[in-house]
Amino acid sequence: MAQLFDESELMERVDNDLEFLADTVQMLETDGRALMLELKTAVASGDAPAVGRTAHALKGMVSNFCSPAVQTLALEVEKAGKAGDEAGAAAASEKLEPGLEALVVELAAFVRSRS
Amino acid sequence: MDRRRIVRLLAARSCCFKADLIAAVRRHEVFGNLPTVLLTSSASPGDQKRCEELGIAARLLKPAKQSLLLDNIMRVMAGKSRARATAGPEAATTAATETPANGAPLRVLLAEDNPVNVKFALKILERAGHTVTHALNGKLAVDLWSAQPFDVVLMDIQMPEMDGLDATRAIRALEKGRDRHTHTPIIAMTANAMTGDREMCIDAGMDGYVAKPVKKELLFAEVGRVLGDGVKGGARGAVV
Repeated sequence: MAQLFDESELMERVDNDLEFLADTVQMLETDGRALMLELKTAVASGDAPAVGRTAHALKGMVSNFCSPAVQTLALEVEKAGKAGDEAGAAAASEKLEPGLEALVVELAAFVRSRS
Repeated sequence: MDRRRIVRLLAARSCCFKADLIAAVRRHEVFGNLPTVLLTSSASPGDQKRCEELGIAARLLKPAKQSLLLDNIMRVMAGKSRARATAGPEAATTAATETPANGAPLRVLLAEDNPVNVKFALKILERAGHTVTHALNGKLAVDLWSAQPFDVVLMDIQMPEMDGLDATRAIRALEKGRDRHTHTPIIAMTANAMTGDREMCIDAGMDGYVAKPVKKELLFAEVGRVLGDGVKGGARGAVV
């Protein structure tokens, strides 16, 4: 299976600073997962503006890790939320959650393999 | 005997700034002239000025990395008045020692609420030698802008309490109210990919726009563009 992030682009982005990368991946684990939880709550309550805002924040956070696939998943949720499309937001959110989780796991494994 | 030491003070969040304690140390017969590194849990507008008044050589926000603390201690002990520092959750000023090869360090106000985005932006800016003050939301950014001068503002759009568009409008309104009209360039940093976003930022009074994830080449190109002719240190465009 193809890697969810561009390894060489990411290392260039962090200036090959593995300690910095480890710190930010840990932040993604905690803050990213917290945002995902917030997003699911917003989706469940049908709060489309909150869905749009939270997905936007998640998209910005994920964009730092050179993962266009997961970034696109977040964008889809954001678009649906901002369009007031509750069903679309719920469907897109269901794809985003495993995507984000897989990215976190891959990044953490990558950091471990380089440490 | 070399009696130089560093005085390490902890400023509790609940008790804001330990100015009295630091001033007491300054009056002390033995410790009065020693370099001081401040470790604090929070920061607010005006802290930097107070640090300067009290002769504090470096200010770090907790938790400070061991390597960063050691780095600052070494720099301070070497007699350098400015040291590197970390960003914090609310508002923190960081100062860098390296001067960019092609220009003076800029005073940058970074308004951004996402901690990961902040960390990446700080890495880019500090590495280039710029002094960064971080604001967690638009309201704090306006407060900080009012309290001290900045060469450029990097403004996120979506932030709690006050978003980047409203913060920009507030800064522009305050600029108009000043006796000597000044214009601080403001650059939007946003993960928006919607049509019309750029126009929305310009309409609010911003001067430039960079997309997230922020890439250093594009960021400094935009900073250089907005700091062009007619702006203090106009040649600072070449700060990469």
